[in-house]
Amino acid sequence: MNVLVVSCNHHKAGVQLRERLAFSSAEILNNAYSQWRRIHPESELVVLSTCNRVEIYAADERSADGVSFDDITRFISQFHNVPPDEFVDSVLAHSGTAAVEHLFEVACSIDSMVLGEPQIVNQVKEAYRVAQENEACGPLTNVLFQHALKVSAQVRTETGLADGRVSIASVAVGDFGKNIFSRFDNKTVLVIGAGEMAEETLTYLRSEGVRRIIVANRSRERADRLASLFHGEAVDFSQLDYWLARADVIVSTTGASQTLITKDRFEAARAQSQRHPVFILDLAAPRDFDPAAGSVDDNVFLYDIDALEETCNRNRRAREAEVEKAKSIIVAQTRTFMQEIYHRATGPVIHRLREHWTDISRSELDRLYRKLPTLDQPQREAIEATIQRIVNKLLHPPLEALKDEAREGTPEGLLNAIRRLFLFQSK
Amino acid sequence: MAFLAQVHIYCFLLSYLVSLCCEILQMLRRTGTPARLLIVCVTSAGFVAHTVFLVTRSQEAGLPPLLASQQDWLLVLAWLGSLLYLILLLTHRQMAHGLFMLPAILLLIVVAIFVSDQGSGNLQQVAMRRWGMFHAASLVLGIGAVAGASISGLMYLLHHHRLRSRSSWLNNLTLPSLENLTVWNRWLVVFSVPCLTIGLLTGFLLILWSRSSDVSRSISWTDPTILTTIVVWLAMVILLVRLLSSSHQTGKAVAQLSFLSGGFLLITVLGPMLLAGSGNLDTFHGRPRPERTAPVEPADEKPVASPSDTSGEVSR
Repeated sequence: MNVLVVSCNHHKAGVQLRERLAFSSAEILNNAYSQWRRIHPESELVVLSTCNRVEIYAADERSADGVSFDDITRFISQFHNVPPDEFVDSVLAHSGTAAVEHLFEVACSIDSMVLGEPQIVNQVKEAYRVAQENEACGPLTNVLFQHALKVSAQVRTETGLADGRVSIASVAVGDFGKNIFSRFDNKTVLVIGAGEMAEETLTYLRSEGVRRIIVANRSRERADRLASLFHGEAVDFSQLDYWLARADVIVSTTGASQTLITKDRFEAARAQSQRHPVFILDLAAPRDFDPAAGSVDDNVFLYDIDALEETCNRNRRAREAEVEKAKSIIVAQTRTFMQEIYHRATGPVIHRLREHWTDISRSELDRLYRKLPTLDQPQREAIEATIQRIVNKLLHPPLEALKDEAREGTPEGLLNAIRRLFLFQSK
Repeated sequence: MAFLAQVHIYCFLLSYLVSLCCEILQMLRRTGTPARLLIVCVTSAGFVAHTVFLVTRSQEAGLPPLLASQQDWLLVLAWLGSLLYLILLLTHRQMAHGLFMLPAILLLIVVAIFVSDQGSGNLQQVAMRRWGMFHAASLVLGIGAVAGASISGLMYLLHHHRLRSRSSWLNNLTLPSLENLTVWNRWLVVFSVPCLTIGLLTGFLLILWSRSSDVSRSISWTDPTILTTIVVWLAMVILLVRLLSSSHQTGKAVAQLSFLSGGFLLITVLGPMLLAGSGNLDTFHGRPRPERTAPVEPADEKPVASPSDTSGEVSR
């Protein structure tokens, strides 16, 4: 039984590499799951792909011959057509307890660029849901992700990690937008994309007083839904260039796998404008804006997700105490989770042991009843209760020993010993 | 109140210097509220000393500080700057205005030490003194606005650089938004032009007046101070015309021009003052105060000057 994670995140990899390894759309993700199932039908998989991280969680109930780091690396390399040499040094790999702790940290937003940001929990939930839809989850990943969501809720309730300005959108607008504009109530905001990040950013911008919101999305239906939520206006995706020239704030969060706004396209749009200051927040991965678009003129201020790093480090330093509290919860919960997992591994052995002894007692009782047919029902019940107590008392020491051993890992030695001692496994 | 007369120019010079050091420390170390309080206390003390010094000087000269001498004129400009800084310090606590304003204030005070503290011109006539006051006040406001535009231009350029390049050494600098800096910059340029124009026109009127009333003290049209003021005025008019005529003028372009005009102001206004103060340049504004003459006053108006000293100058 093993849990593995290979993570390409903002700590070790730049946005360029993350873009190349991203599973940016539902279609790409579904393809990935179907490929994985074809190659590794017995192992479980959950892919978490956000603007800051691409993480692959694999689990296998088999200890030997199970899925390995090499399998995951090969899969990533083949799926994205990226040679392993180009990313192995920029990814983190954990197994067992470390992998579980990593997922808990991710779900609790300890590992996020913006400490305490709430979006990551929904992203973890969504990744788990998509994996379930693709039938890539199994008993291990089910219990792992459900536990991760529980730990995340506990950290949010018991620490002040999520207090104050914690969303990526709020940090980006608060730290960059407010350095460019003194007010937002007279600004036109163009949102490209209609996902969760767009909604989060609009929530913050709305609280800053933004009145005019334009939503452009390939799916008009989703654009209409988002626009109606914020009393904005949904426009056809074909009108994007027109609004690029007129918007003061542009928030781009599409799931496009290619650059959406090239330098030439943006330059043409700017030529139609008064070259007023424009604040562009490219929160997509891969990026929607060509980084060169930021140099079209002096009044273009283009920021991608990596530009937020310094600000986020400041945010992190200010919340050190809360991080410590959250970490201690995560460590305790990881230990509890691992014990449960190890204990689960002993389940089949315990079940078989109990079944075996019950079968023996049943057959001995049947033999006794045949020899003593005069026994009435109350007498038989008293004998059965006595036998059951004896079985339970005999089972108690090995079960306790298994429980104790399972605290530190799967008690493979003890399990094998029980199998051999009680003769329900041939040598 | 004899101790008030003991207040020296170095008292407030040092106060502002300490404030500047605290501002730099604040930027480098992010020392927080205690440093901010220290800056407020030290700057306030400096401002009080500055005010006392100007009032004492004014009482001694028997003229408003703007008219007493070139030194007092510069100190009034610095006083206005420190008043504005103090207001900004109390209203926008997180902003690093001091890093930009205090060096300008200190420069004015240091230059004031080296320029003439003797008045020139003849302001015994009440009417002439009023025109002189109007002339000096307009120029102080105009030149103050040019200096302000220059400072906001510099702030804009640094802030713009930081936001575009995410330069780390500027990350601790808290500045107003680019939008605010652009607005201030434009309004200061717009405000400076009429002030300088009024200052120049009233100066020309005073020249004509002095020529008609006192030939021996008449001012030449080619006086270096007058010429440099005209040059500054021309520069600001050109900047204003560019600002109003071009629809595609970016905030950065305006900031660059404003910053350059500030540098130009330094050379053209402070340069001749320093040269005149050291005796290397013959200008009316830097000449020693003339011998006292009997004031000529209308019957219904009382002189503003004190009985002890009725001589004065046409400041700039």
